[in-house]
Amino acid sequence: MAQGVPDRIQKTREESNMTALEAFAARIVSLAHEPLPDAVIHETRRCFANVLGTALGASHSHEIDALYRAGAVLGGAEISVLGRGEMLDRYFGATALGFAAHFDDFDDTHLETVIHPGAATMGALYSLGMCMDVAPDRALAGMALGVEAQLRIGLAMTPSHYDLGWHITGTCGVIGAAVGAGILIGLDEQQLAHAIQIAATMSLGQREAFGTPIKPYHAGKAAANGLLSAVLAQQGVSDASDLLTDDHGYFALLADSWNTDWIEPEDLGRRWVILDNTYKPFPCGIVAHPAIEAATKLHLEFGALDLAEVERVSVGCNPLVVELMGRRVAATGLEARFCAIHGVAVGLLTGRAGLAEFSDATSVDPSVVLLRDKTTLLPDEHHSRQSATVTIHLNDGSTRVHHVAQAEGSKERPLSDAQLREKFLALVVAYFLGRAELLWQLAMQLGDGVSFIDIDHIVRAR
Amino acid sequence: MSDVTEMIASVCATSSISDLDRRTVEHAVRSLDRVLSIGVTKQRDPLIARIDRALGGHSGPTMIEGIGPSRRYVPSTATLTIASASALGNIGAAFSEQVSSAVVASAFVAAQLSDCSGAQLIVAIALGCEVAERIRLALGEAHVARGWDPIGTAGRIGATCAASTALGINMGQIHDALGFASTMAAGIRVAGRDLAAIGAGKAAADALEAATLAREGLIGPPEPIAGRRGLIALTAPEGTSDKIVEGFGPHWHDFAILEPLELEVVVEHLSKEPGCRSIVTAFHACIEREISR
Repeated sequence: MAQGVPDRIQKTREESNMTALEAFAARIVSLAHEPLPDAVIHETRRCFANVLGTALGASHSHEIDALYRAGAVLGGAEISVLGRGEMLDRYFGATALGFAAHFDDFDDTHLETVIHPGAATMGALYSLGMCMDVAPDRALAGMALGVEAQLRIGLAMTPSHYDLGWHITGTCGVIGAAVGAGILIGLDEQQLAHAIQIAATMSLGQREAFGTPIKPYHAGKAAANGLLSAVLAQQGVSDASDLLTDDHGYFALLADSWNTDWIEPEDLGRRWVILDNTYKPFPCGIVAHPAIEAATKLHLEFGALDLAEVERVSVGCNPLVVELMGRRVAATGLEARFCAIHGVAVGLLTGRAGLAEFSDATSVDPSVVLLRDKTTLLPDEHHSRQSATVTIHLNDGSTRVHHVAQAEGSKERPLSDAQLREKFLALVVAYFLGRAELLWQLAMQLGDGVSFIDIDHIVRAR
Repeated sequence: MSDVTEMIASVCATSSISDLDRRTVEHAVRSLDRVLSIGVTKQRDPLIARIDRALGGHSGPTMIEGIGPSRRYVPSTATLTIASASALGNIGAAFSEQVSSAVVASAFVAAQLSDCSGAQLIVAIALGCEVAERIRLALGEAHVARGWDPIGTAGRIGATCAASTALGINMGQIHDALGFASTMAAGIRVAGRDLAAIGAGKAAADALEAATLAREGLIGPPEPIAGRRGLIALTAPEGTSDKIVEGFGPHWHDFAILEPLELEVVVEHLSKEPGCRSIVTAFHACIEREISR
């Protein structure tokens, strides 16, 4: 038996008369009242700081402006988030935060599931944290367990769920947001089970929307729906059936096969899948990162390219790169995020692949377009998701090659705290000049006397 | 088929009251009447009070007549409470009747935001019901048997057409709105009345949100409904988009027209003054009358 699991939860579900969902929820609630392991605390803070940075970095995009206008028409005026003056209600606030956090595709990624777990969880919790007094330890526990719960739901359906065409960040994000919000408002075991039930009916996210603002909206709306689910459960809304594991429930509808071992209470707390979360060094689909890194290394090694000398560029990569980022044309920065050859082209030309290299202007830059046209993806099963080889074929018959076996930002080569800080500061400094370092420090102290409102005081400071 | 969404958007953007046959108009008017009337009679249901407390929305820049203890709500809450209250009164009814809760609520609130004519509101409801029915048929029986709630899937799309038409957004914007609606169209069939009613309410509120986001300039994918990773592919792999587009525009579904209800909100007032505001006034009067009973 796993150490620390309460006896009542430890019993088999037949003995305790708990459904799988109820046992899952009960274990989460018990974990919320136990000290988190140091490694989990540290990873939760890294996750939170990273999505806070990506959200603040995208806080003044045109798309966020549009979302704010819609929220102002449809919702109430309750809170201010993202350092903007306009007011939104808590649900549109959660939407805006989750949307902004995932907007640049620069947030975190759990590589096994391809979930970006931080955005929806942070969106729900931070927005709620503007409306009520959230103790620092609750804030930390909500963030940790919201991410942990949604990753486990995602792992239970991986790989079938994503392969079918669902955007797992939205479909599972709503569960993470519900769990995190439920912990903040103090739901008991039964109420949290109800919150997850309700969230299961409000999942969303189809991969057809990739390349449009609807993709980040998945994370934002998951945050809002998860928050709503928790609050409805608090008000006594429930359903009699186990909507997660029933024959016609959430798992059955969203995957061809699933494994409920991931939500068994004995496993929760024994190991923590949040520790497998990773952080992106480049603002685009994670599967292209090995190739982009190889391209930037080639630039560092050989210097700027003379395009007239380049016959073609070939990119040996995992087939998933073609599946997810095989777009050959990118007319906007958003489209460029789903165009692996764009990342390779800017990497080769500039040695960088940051937000500036994925802007609208860069996506139509003639030299970038020319090099994209000369670049071809060569899918190969022998390449893992973490590896790629970029080869520049020059007109004189010579080649320049760089192979990446494990991409930076992967589980094996994670971004260090120093690299994460550098990324955070670069994202935040444009709109929060003079406060970026303090924001980073506070985010990395979440739970240690620091809650969401303390951070927001600095965000809103003029 | 690659132009299903475009065709739906096109019909929604170009239809007027003269394109509707008499029976379709009658069905739309009766649906409006029944949804508002039933919603009013359910306003004291404990679920509505729970939704009221959960959503809040008791103050904001734009306030709309809704159903529940607070009476006036921000548009998103008003939409959800009207649809949920109405849905409480038609649990277990035929799809066409159930879906009218989401379609009418989203259209009714959108009409107040745009101050459109009563005729345009009727067109919006007719289109919403028509599209919902066509999507339901396209998704097929297996979709429901698998466990999907067609109110959450087909109904959300229909309600988005209704909200978009009542808001008066253009064809491209309706196309984008359908992108948002499609990606949110994933309701699970539930056993209890409360979550079923909230499901209808969410379909309506999400539909209004989809139309508003599109109006504000957020774009969607080219083919969210019939695309490779779109609504039909993910929730009804055996479904066919042919049933959406065949005859759409000139031909309207022959819905059963239900009997008028006691409150008779709409028919009477539309006959006197064919404007959206008169329906709001009538709706308000019905709420007052119900409360005083």
